[in-house]
Amino acid sequence: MTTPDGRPDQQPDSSNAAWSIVSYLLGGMAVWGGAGWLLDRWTGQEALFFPIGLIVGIAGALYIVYVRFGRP
Amino acid sequence: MFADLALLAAQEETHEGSCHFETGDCGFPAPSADIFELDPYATFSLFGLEFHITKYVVLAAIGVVLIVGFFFLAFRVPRLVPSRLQSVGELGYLFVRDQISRQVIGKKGEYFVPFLVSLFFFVWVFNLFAVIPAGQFPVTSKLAFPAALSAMVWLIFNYVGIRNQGFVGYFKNMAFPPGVPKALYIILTPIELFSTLLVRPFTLAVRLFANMFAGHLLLTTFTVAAWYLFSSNPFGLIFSATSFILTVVLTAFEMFIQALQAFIFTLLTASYIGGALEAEH
Repeated sequence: MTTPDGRPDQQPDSSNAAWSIVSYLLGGMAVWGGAGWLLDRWTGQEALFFPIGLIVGIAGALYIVYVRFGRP
Repeated sequence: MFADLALLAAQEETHEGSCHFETGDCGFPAPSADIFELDPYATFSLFGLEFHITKYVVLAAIGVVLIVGFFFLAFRVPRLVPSRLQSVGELGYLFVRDQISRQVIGKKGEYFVPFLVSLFFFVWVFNLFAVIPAGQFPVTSKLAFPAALSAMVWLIFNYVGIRNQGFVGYFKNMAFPPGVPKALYIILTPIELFSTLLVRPFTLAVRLFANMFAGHLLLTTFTVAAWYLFSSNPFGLIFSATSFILTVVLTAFEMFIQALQAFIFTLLTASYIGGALEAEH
């Protein structure tokens, strides 16, 4: 359960990776989708920046997941 | 006159909620989110705020009394060779301490074990009220309860992070993951901040709420189906019996889900606290 010097056997990363991925994806889509949506309202476009923002958000979120959990 | 009766019957069948259970030839009264709206037993005003004492509040109070009473009685006179009640209490406490706190946080988490134990048992008992006959509502199916618990957890893990890593240090470590080309920070930092500070407590609360809400709705649907099919026609008896057996099976499944959701809530809380205690590497 704990190694001799008291650190946990299961690093926090492994146990919250799954829910963190969900969090990051939702957060990414919300932040950059929201920014895209606001930009759409500001420039009067119908649906131009909103999908771009969503995709940027998803890409960013996946990159964060890779940085935090995927690197050896 | 017959045309009027036919019109009336047609109107009655299409109008929502005007079917009578006695005739049994109306549509299935499917339970919706309305079943969670309860009339309060008492209402009073304090400092301009209105308090409704509904069944949820009463069940929550009973849950509190049960848990506090149990642990108080179990550890009132602790002995080295434990009595039976103390053994059960120790079982509960050690389960959270060993399987959740030590696995996820490590030694530094000893300080938080009482909080995690309380959280686990409160969520579990609140969930259990869904299958106890007089209660029959999972207290956590009202969003306010998981939301309040999640807000508490959010305050705690942010406070712990700020106290351990310093105010600036905590947010810097959160917002700027190491090993990323500097130009990408413009895209990544808002995502990090938003997902850690806002999405985390939201998903923590909604996960618990949605599981309990859906489970209760499912049980209600099959129970109403068992009753409704019973009053229809002879073939309905077979379907009604099937529905009843399914209700029993789903109750067992629901009890498993309740314990699992309590465990997941506590596990994630421990994980967030553990993440706040150590700087991200």
